[in-house]
Amino acid sequence: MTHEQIQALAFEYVRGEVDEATRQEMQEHLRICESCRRYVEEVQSLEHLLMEAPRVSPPPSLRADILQQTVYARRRRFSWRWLPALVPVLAGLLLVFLFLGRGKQPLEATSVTVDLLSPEESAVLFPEDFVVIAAIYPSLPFEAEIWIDSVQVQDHILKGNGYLAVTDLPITPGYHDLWLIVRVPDAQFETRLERTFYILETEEARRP
Amino acid sequence: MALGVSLVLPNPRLAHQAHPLYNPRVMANEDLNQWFIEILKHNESRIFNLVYWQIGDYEEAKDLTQEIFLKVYKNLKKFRKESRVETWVYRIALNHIHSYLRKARHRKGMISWETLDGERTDVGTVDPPEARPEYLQLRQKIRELPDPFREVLLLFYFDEKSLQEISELLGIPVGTVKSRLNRARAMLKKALEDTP
Repeated sequence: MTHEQIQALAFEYVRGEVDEATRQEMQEHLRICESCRRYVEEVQSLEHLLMEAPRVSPPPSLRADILQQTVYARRRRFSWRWLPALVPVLAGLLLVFLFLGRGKQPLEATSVTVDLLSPEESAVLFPEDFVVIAAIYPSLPFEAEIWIDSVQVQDHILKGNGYLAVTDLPITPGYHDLWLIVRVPDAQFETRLERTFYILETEEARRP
Repeated sequence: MALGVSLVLPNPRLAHQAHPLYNPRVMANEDLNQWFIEILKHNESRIFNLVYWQIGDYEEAKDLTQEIFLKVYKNLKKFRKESRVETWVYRIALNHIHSYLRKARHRKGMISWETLDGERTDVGTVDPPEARPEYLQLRQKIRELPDPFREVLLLFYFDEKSLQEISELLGIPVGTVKSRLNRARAMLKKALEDTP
């Protein structure tokens, strides 16, 4: 082996990554060659330095800072420092509502949306269907009341993460009126939605 | 109030199985957030080290790591799962570090090189091990390596990635990784020897 070949393989040699035959060949060369031996020793100490180089701990606040700007960003958007500037506006709005006799209307926060997904008037449903009737965004904890034909539905309601669904509704075929009241306490939000929908009788009726 | 389309799901008794159709927007966001938290936990320290050993400034490394994870978060929806998510995160990190260093070098004329290369290790009142002279010098010399060589060296030694993993990360053949690594070691060895 030449000096150049030895030096090219020096790092792999000290890491034990050369095959047995090469290792023996290198050892023979190193026994007689002072300069290559010195080279391999230097390589050994650099390898050691690299292997032992300390890892740095990230600042403890790093993860929290990242999460604040990503996963929790939406909630952080509201800042109390704007409150003083908003007071006259809020007072004005309150007066307008009182003046219009609508003081008892629920507070509607614009940051929450409730999409009434189904049923629309043209939609036909089956009692056994699992039906998503509303999507609530963002997915904060919410309370919901469902009224069908002026009777509150107590069971058959499924509250998911950001959605509201009903299943196995015990109602007769035909047209029905649906009222939905959604409250999101965290956002001081309440809304009431109305829709008429049609319940079909049998599974067969669904197929043309 | 926005009106959505009718959404009637045919299988009624599987409500506990979170079908994305129930509400794609909300479900997807919840899942993405969970996923992002996992990614962050798993990679935070490693990405921070990757940045720190390339930049050399603790505070700057913190800012850069934050920016990298913001990019990851913003683009997580677009991630196509053609590669492992870790590979994708590392690619974002490496690209971000590249562009930072490019800009920093561009500014070199305007700011003192010492600021960029500053040996600030203000991580506490007690000197951390990486503040020891041999490591300061090592870091300095690693930072002076050309980008492709420095990258491979750091991924190999500091991240303990295999040649195969580095090849996937950088999208170059294993043979190229190996030769870059050898070259990087030789350059580093020479640079350290030349230092008085």
